[in-house]
Amino acid sequence: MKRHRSLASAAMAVMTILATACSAGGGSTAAGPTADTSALCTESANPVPADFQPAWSDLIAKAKAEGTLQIVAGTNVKAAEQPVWDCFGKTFGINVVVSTGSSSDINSRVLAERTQGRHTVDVSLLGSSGTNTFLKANAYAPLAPMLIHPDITDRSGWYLKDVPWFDAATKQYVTLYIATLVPNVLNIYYNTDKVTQEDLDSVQSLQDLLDPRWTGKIVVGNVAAGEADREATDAWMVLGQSFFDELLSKQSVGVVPLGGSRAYTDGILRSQWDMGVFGEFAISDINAAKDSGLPIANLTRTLKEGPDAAIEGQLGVFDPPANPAAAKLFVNWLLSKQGQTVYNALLVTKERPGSQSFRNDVPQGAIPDEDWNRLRTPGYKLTYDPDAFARARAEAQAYFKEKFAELKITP
Amino acid sequence: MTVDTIDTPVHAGGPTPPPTEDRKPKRRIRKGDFIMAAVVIVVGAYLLIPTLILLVMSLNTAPNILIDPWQWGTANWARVWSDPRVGPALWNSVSVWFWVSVISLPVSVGIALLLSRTNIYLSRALEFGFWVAYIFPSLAATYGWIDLLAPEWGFLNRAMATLPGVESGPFNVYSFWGIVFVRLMTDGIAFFVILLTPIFRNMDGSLEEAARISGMSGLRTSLRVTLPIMVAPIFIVAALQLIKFFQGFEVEYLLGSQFGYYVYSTLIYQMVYVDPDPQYANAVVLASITLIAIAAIIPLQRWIVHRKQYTTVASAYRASLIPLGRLRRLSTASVATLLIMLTIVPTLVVGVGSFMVRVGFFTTKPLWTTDHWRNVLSDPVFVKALLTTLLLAGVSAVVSPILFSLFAYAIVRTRWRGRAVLDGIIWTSAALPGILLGFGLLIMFLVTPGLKLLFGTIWPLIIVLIFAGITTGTNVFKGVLVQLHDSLEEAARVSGAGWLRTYLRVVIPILRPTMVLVGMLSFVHAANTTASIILLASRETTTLSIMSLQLGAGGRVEEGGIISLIIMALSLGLALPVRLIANRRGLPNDQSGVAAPTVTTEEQRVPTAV
Repeated sequence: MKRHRSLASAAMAVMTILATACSAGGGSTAAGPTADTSALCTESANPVPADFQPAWSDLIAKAKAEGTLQIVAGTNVKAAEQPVWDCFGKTFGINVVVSTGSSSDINSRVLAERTQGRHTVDVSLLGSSGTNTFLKANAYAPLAPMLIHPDITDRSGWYLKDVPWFDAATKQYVTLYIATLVPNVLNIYYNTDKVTQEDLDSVQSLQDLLDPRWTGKIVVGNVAAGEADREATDAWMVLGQSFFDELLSKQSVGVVPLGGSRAYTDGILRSQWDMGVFGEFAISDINAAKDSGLPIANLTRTLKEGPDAAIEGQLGVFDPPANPAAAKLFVNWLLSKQGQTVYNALLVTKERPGSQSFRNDVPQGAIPDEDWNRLRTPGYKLTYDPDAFARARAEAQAYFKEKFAELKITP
Repeated sequence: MTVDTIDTPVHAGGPTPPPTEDRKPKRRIRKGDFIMAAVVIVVGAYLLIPTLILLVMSLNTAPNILIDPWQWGTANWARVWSDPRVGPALWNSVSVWFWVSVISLPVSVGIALLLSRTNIYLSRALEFGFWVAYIFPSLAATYGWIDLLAPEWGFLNRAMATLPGVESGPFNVYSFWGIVFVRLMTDGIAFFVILLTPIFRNMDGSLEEAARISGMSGLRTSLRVTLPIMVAPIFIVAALQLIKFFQGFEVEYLLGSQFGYYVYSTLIYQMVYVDPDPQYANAVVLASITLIAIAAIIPLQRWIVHRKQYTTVASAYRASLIPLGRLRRLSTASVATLLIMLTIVPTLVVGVGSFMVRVGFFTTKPLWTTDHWRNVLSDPVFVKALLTTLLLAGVSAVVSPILFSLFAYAIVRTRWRGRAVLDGIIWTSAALPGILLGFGLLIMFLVTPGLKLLFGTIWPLIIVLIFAGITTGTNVFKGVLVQLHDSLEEAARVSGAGWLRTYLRVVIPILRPTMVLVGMLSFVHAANTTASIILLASRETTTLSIMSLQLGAGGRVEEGGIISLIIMALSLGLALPVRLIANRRGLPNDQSGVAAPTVTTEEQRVPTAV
């Protein structure tokens, strides 16, 4: 996931609290879609300007004739966004078929097909690793010419005045469509039975994780293998190499295998480790454990380094798509005001904490107040620098690979 | 007692040596030679082209062999060793196989002897129990033992922790010995027992009688008479186990992936499917190394089966049972306990775990839930996967035995040229791990005109699964056919029947129980397999086993376990009744004397495996 991390000042935490208190929005705190949202999933709920209507109607007709949209998506993306895609299918009467699995699995299958000229998929909604593999393979069609909906081309409805591109070098194949704002640059999960309030209070900065209290008590996702890619890059940009030198060398961190969400969560639950970072890949399992009363929680207090914001959600269309009109309709609908309204309304927020549309003209929907208000904190400006993020990502990946090998950190 | 001796090992299992007639100069070309040529080409193409594609690809040094312009060289073969996982994975493969074999072989031989050559109670029921154990899905057994032996939260560990003075349970299924144990509990023992027991049972009892008349004790008779006679079949079964091990995947993946422990097959999977940048080049090199390893098995196996003549089965054969005396009850209880551990324990544990909010955690609120079952059963992918699995398993169960029996017949009972080549191809095919066969086939389906259209449909999966058990299936048929006396076919041919008519009217009735055996093996394999089809299966054609594995590996062990239980229900609910019915129907023929001289008594309704 490519994103720009934009750290607000230390005062932002205070402003967030103020903004929360003063928020005029009556948003819910639901963790997922709870209201009757069926009215959102109709064509009549998608009005477009009159001059665009003929082109839009023509596109819808062609997409309906194709009848199917083939999406490839990461497991976590599917868990969070399936209701949104279902809504698209219901709106236009298109059968949405989702293929999910590990990025590598999807990469392997699709690239093998493409090598032989077979094109069976339309839209890619993968993590940064899988998306990069497709980019390197020139598997995506230029997306910029496909973005025809006035809601997209007119940037007045967005917090970002330019279309954000994941592909920093070419800026035309993969766009980003969600903002994620979280309390800290490193999300911290902990065992509530083992970590006392005193322990928590002692953590005022991420640097406090280097305290001997946590030696041998921290588990990390396998960042050397590409896990928690976005979070690792953000942390690299904020905390720098020295922090990770100490964390990895002195703290005897544990690591779970790539995709080992259950091992990560169970390891914390059964006190193998007291605390975990780089665990965004395990968020569904952590939520499930938390919901069933098991002793795990995440630190919601913002630490000294401040909160973190990311532009993410890689959206690309394959070249050529199996169903060109359906693919084009989907990306335009998803990025339209209507699509982003549906996104906020139907996103399973606990599967993607902190995420929301970064359009400024859509209702809060199911986005929790604290997340909604972070983006709307007075004085806060969402920015995105793809080049800086790409550079940091490359540096971080190389570092983690080398360091894990040097220290023989293995699952 | 009339004894017709048969040179059992002449063709048993291994590549068939050219018969004497083949060495005669200027033998005219027969119609059968053309048939054999066609079979060799078709089977060879199916099995060897993917292999060749992979070998060729191992020399493709392009950064991404699927994308970039191909470049040729041997750099991949040197570079693969720079991956720190490769060496340990190869060593781990040998270690796990060694310990599984070292433990399972004597245990299985002992159990097979108990079931077939002693007066143990309920021998037929216990033998059937091992059938159930073999059919029992390895996925379900693995989930069961995970639930029992997972560190800290495993049921058994938690129970141990309640004992005075015990802080935490001592077991850890996520370990080397955990993998060895679960391999033994899945098919390490059951596989041996179900193949060895019929062989031991079919052995001429007069040999043992003669030994005992000569003053040998029961134990000494077993060691000095029974076992030496059975060296060849035991070795062949061990070789099949080795091949099966090379094809093994699920146990090692579900357990090993949790603590970074790879065997070669799971490392290949890791390289191709899990590593952020798929490493096809390393994977195909690793597969090529296994080809070399398996190549050593064929000459070794041939050496063993040909170094000595083994005379075993008689026409008027009768079994004689060694009395166990005071050990009879103990032996029965021991075998029954093992069977319970192989089948009932994992079923119960997975069943109970599937109703827990989070298996192994007894402090959740609530503790019990039906959500996991609801999630699985309401998932539209599950319905598709169920239908796909039934289709694949059903077709495989019907077609595979017919095909393999024809292959075996052609190899063992005809003098067509090219038999040894076909036999060699079938044995060599076992070297190709399912996961790479799937990859090779993926490319083959995509590049071959005609086959290209099949990609993404159910047909590639059907073809793969029909052929998946070709080595085991064909060799099982060969084992039966080598015991078939020439006089049967000679009589048919004297009566004017050609080879096909002879096959249909004489051989098939004799083979019927074996066909059921192979059909069931095919059914079970098709219902359980993951590695060979995971790249070929689309979302529309995913199977229950793939779904279970993906759920389990993704951390949803309760739901993965539920699907494994459903696979078990399919296997036991459909396969076993069919086997029983077919065996019952096969009985009249056996008793009619059609199969004489080798099949004359009820004892031999159980198919001879090798």
